[in-house]
Amino acid sequence: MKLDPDKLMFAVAPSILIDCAVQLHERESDFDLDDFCQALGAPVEEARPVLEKLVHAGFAKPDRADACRFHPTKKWGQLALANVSRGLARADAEALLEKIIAKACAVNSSADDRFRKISCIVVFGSFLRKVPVLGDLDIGVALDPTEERRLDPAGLSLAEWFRKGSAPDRRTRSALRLRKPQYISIHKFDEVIELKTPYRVIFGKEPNK
Amino acid sequence: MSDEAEGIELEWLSPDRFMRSEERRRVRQLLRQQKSLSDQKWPIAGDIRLAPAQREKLDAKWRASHARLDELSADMLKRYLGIGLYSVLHVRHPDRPDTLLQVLRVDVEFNDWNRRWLWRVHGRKLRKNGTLGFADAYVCFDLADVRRRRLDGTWERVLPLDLADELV
Repeated sequence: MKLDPDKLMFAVAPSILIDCAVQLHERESDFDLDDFCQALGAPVEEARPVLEKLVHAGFAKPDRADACRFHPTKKWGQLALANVSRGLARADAEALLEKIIAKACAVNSSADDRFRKISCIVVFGSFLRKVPVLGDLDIGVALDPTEERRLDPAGLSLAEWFRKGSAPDRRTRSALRLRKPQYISIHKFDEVIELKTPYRVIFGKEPNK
Repeated sequence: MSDEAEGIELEWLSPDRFMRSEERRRVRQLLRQQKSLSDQKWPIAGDIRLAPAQREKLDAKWRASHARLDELSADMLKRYLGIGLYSVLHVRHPDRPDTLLQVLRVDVEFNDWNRRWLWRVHGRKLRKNGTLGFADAYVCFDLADVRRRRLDGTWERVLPLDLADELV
């Protein structure tokens, strides 16, 4: 979901509404009007109409036993994950795509072991729909499985071992994001396959093909 | 009352400006009661130790008194300044760092040092990106530039409600 920063949603600034949705989504439980007021940052007389509109629009549904409690729906989760952006022009998206490919080439040709080699990059989502303005640039990345290194767990806590072990993967994906997280969404290649959405290979070779 | 150089428009928002006599009496009574309960719980003579049951009884009384003062203060803040619980405030003083916080609890206190009444607001800080965080925040004010965040993301200056009516 993409929200325009200049357009109010239910008379609320998108960034405020998303912050509210994130806070209540993270609790992973139902909520009442008091919780909603606190998450929205507004007193009850301002927050109540917003909650009513959200319920009416299907973002939350009242509890069957207790009408004062509400359950967030799938739409609520989508709101919590929404981006606030004016969109990305196709020409800019194509320029970004070229930069991503150049970055992938640079990562693969470097001997820096802080990064992992990239076996494949695909593009999917609105870029393939030929729309003039995209929500963002959705990229799927497969890292080279032969490059995976096992970190020696000696002297490390389990959390440290996990964090340090996955650091090259995170660094590589972060490098492909080109410090433009508002425009580029990086996903794992497996996620793209699970979504069963059309995609186009723009770099390397598809895994298992 | 404005300080053009700092861009801060100070307003006299002290509870003293608005409190009715019965409210002032009630607030003073609750503050006295809290002090008395606190003194009883922590006697000056160190050798006197209260039994756990006595201590618990005093604690319960103190909590009840505190809750009543919070309730009264929140009601006054709402009626006189239009700031309800859970509002997001930006409080600016000329000689102190700015405070951005969400109001979770409010009470009033009398500052013996300068003989002034203050609003004492407790809440949680806003993060740098403007989202509501978890860190505790606290601010006291009487003469200050206070702004409240509207739901459309703009900020409105907090003025005494009777004065705001006059301006309209």
